[in-house]
Amino acid sequence: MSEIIPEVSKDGLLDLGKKLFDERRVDYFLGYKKGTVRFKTIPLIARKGEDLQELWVEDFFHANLSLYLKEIKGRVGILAKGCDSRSLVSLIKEGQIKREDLYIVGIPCAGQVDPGKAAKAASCEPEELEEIIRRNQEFVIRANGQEKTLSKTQVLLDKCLFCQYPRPLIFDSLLTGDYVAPVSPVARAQDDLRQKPVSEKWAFWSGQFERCIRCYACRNVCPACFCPRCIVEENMPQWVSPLPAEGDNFVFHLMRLLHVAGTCVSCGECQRVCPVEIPLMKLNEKMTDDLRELFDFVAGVDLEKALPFRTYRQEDPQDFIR
Amino acid sequence: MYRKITREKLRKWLIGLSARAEILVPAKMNGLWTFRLFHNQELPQNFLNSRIPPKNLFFEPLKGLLGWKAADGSFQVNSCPAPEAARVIFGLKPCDARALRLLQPVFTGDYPDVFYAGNLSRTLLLGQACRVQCQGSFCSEVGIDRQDSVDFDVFFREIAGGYIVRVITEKGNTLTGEKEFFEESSAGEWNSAKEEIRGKNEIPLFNLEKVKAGARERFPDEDFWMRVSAKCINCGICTYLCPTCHCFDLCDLQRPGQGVRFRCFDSCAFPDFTKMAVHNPREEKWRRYRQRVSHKFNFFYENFQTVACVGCGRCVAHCPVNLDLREVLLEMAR
Amino acid sequence: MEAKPETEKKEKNWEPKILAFLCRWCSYAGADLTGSSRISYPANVRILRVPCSGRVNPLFILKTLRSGMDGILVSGCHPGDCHYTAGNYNARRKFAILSRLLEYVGIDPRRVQFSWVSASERDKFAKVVSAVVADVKALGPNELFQLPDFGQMTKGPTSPDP
Repeated sequence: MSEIIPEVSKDGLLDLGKKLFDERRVDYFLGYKKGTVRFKTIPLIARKGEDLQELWVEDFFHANLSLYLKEIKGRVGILAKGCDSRSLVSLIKEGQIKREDLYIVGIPCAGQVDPGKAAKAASCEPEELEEIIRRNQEFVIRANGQEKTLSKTQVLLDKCLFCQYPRPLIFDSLLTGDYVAPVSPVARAQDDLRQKPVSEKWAFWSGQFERCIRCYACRNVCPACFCPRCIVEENMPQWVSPLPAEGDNFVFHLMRLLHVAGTCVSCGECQRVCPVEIPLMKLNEKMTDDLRELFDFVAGVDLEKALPFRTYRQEDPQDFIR
Repeated sequence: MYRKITREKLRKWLIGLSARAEILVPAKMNGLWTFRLFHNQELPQNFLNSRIPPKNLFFEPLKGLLGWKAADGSFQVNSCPAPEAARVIFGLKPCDARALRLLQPVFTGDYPDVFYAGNLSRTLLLGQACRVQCQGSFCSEVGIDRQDSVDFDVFFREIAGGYIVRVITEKGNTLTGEKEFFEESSAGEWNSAKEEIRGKNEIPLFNLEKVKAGARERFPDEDFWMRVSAKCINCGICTYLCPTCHCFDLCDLQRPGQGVRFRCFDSCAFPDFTKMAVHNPREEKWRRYRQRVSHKFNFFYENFQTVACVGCGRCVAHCPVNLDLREVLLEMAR
Repeated sequence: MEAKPETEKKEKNWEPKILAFLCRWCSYAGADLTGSSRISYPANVRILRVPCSGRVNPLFILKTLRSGMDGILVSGCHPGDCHYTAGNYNARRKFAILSRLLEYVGIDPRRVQFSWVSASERDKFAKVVSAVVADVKALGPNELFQLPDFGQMTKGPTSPDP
């Protein structure tokens, strides 16, 4: 079956955006603009055609723009990488947005850079990185006046190394470019922690939970965390105290994880924004692996399949029940 | 007064001090710079600003204030004692030390906070000059000299083989007076040892006076605040990593027969921050963002004649959506 | 804070405290029958009646652990017997994910257990409770969230090195 894909060039993107505003197809357009801090890009929330002048889709656009759909209601044009489109699918399934209200422009992504990882590979501080330049199949890192060449696996975010959906799953038009995974997807390395005894797991996670400062950036940046009022803010009764103490942090993170189960598409934004660098993706990946294994469910890839906690099968595993 | 010390002697001096006080030095933990207990280890060179500001060592993110207990028909309330044990913090940066001084009138004013005052008076502040401009920082624009400061007890500046030292307080003078560690130096030597900062802003980003004036003028400009705060996601990173933010919440935890009242950080970025019984004066996020900027550059200035920002750049560098305070200030200064 | 005082935990003849969420239609009735049939089971369980095992929000379990309970038992109707047709099927999915996650973050699965006990299974109820109590006794008290003494109740980046 031949499919007609409306392609749009980078220059054409601006015109397309303006046209969408002119034709009143959208009230907002979510894109990116050039960041003011190294390796960051600013989410651009355009409310009229002229705002799109600053649109910039070059590199470092890791932000998952679908997070703004929690707040911005109405008809929205949005740029989506392959992985971000899974969030859109998830949100449509959850009834948070309507497909017809969205105008999705797919963008090609050659993998997003993880500055922390790159710094480690280049044995310098993340703050010392001056430039990260893509060159063919490699990256050139400049730090402290020196240049180093690193491979993609040393620089890209872990999630990009296992990229399964380089091409958006749903879209209205596509930006011209190659929709291929940055590296040929390999099986995700098994998380060593899963094989460890329970006491070691606790030693690891209690150390992580203890550091949490409860800034709630993980929650607020998460497209799947769309509750208008979060249970941690509920104080009659109080389920989770606001104290940044290990036990309350444990309840907060586990509770959040269970709330996003089935909606979380492992976009990795929570881990990326965490100011104290808690490896939250380990938890998300454990949860998504379990959902796949137990209920054959993968979030954000199928608009039809029922969400895992809205359905059941009589033969669901129950070996853990006495 | 100026002195000099070699790298190795500094370590020995700190080892000597550790018999009398708890010593905290910069260390990397889980990939982040922070302050940890000193175990006679080599002192790190070229350390950067700690991710979590040292404010947290003085105004703790979680602090028990009082506890109560009911047993055998009696009811007891105990307040948490003010901290007294001597402490030394080495490697503070000029911006963070200025922040500690800025908070002094807040915590030791009309309603003195015994914990902050106690922490400040029990701590010997040993600063160290910066050599690089931190990502996102604008310290010189808000009047901080990265190579010189009087906000410490003793201020260290790295030179070849060791440190040149500016002694500021009497406490610092007594402790650095030990001849076996420190040599005498002079103001001339101090001034000539001044270093250029790597990666500094060649041209100041903005004029602070204009920012202050702009903060007042822009306050009623709702469109401006809506525009700049549109991408804000209401997380608490900017406030919790800020060395001068000092809003807190009180929280009681109880179990049968006993309970504790805690103080923990709160953030004006959270929608519930000003929520009252039936009304929330800052329901919209632009009002909350305006509050944060105005508090720092307008209200705090009116109350204490100084802006409550030391330009450390943490909020700029770690904002999840790159909401750059520098750009907002620049626009206000226009 | 909510953790138990040191003295209580170090006692030699420590007895675990276990919170049991029992479904109103099956397991609670089963527990009732166990008692009225004069079958004895350990007195360590505190029973909380819930309308259905589907009512048990995973948050209840997390909160219970955080409050210092030593063990948790969630019990409902056998699959197919739910008074609300599918409450226990839905609950089973949540519990499957929860118990795996708890294990992953380092909470021994023996602390949080699940069972199906019908209104007539008086012997099974006694057996399940005895087994859970024995498991938790073997694990020892829940010391996951012990916090420092009240006097040092302070947290900062320099909380003393481990």
